[in-house]
Amino acid sequence: MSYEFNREQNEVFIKATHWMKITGVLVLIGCILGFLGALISSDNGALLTNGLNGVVAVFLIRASTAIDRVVNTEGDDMTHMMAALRSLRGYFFIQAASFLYIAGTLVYYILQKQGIA
Amino acid sequence: MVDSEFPSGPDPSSTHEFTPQEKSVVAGLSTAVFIVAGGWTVIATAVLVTGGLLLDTSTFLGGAVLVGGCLMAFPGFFLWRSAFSLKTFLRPQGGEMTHLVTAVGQMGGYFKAALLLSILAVVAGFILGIVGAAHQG
Repeated sequence: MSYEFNREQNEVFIKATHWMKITGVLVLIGCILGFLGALISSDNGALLTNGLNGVVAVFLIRASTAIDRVVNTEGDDMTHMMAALRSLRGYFFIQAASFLYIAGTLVYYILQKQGIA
Repeated sequence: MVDSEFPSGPDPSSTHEFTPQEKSVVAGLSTAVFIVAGGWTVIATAVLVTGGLLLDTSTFLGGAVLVGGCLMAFPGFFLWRSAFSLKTFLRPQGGEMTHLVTAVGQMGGYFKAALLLSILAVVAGFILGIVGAAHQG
C-alpha cells in the first residue's frame, strides 16, 4: 500500500500551499500586466523578465496544486508530492540562477570600475 | 478518490522507500534552496550595512533601512531551515518523511515572509512617494 501523509502532516501542507498559491497568483497577475506593458512599449528586456516571471508563477501554481492533491486525495500521495517537489525545484532553480546572474553582474561591474576586467 | 476528512488514525502505510530518482529531485531542490537562501542573506546583509552607513547622514532614513534589512533576513531564515531539512532528508538516518514535511512547511514560511515583505515594500514606497511629493510641493 502506498504512503499516506497523516493529519498533522496535511495541516503543515495546507498552510504552506496557501501562501504558495497566493504568491503564484500575484506573480502571474503582475507578469501579465508587465507583459502587456512591455508589448506596448516594445521593451525586449521587460518582455524577457516578464516571460521568466510567468514561468516562475506557473511552477508555483503547479506546486501548490500538487500539494493540494496530497491533502485532498488518497492513494497517490507520494506521486503528487514528487510532482510538487519537481515544480518547487524549477522555481528555486530559476530564482537561484537569477541571484547568481545578479551577483556575477555586480562582481563584473566592480571589477570593471577597478580597471581589472 | 477524495478524502471526506483528513486521514487520521493509523496510517495505511507509515514508510516509503525513496528511489534514487526521487532522491535526486530532492538533492537538486536542496542545492537551489541553499543558493537562494544565501542570496537572501547577502541582500539582507548589504541592506543592513547600507542602513548603518546612512545613520551618519540621516537617523530616520538609516533607521528605516536597518529595519528593512532586519525584515529581509526573515525569508532567508526560513529558506536556510528548509535547506538544512532537505540536506538531513538526504542522509540515510531515518525519519525522512519528518524532514520532508518540515522542509515544505519552512518553504511555506518563506513564501509568507517574502509576500508580506513585498506588500510592506509597496506600502512603504507609496508613503515615501507621497511624503517626497509633499516636500517638493
